Amino acid sequence: MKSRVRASNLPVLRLDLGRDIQRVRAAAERVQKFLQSHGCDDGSRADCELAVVEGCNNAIKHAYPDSVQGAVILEVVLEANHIEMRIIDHGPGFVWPETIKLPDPENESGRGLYLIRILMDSVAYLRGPKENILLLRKRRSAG
Amino acid sequence: MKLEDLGDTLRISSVNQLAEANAVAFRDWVQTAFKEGHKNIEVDLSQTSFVDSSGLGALVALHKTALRRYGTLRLINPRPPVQQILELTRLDGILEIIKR
Repeated sequence: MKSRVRASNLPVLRLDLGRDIQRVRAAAERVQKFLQSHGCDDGSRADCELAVVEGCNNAIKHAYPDSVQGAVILEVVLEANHIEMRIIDHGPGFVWPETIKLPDPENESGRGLYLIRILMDSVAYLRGPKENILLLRKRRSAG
Repeated sequence: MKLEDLGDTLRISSVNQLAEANAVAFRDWVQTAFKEGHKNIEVDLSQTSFVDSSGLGALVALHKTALRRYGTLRLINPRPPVQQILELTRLDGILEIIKR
């Protein structure tokens, strides 16, 4: 699969997670190290790590019906002032909720999208006929 | 992970992470060890470097397990990033967090 970021000179990390939930933690740790090696601060790194885990887990669990083949791709691009993370799938996509609220405290699920929204400076879900991109952006601070 | 029987309290420590990959197994393991006579569950989070929404779900489940025996789930010494997640999701309002 072609990456849309290769042509630029910005630092890029690109990982193919397949549809294996067990790969997500290792991928998030690679994101951490990538951001650290480019001087991002501890707080931004921790926020990005958790948002990546939630976004990738969600994509691997929900992006593809069982009968459809496809992988989840994670791209991280370091811009001058922002960290941009793209979680890409080629499944049918879903309707991103207009409002994301915390579930009832006694609920055992439903906090993933809320965490993504609250940890990131901006979140967009781009649903297209051939691919879907969860676009996460975080302001970059020096470490 | 380590389990200790402290009378009416079941204590769990040496938890490296509570994430999608292990959260359900962790919850089931603790619930299986929560025998008659146990009332409270104590999870030592001092060595837990990462918790995601699945890990939070496991903690909420254990909170309800303890409540059914009129007991409490206590979270001991969470590290700052884990404390932050508990606060962001407002679970610090229903779960007992203890700093020792």
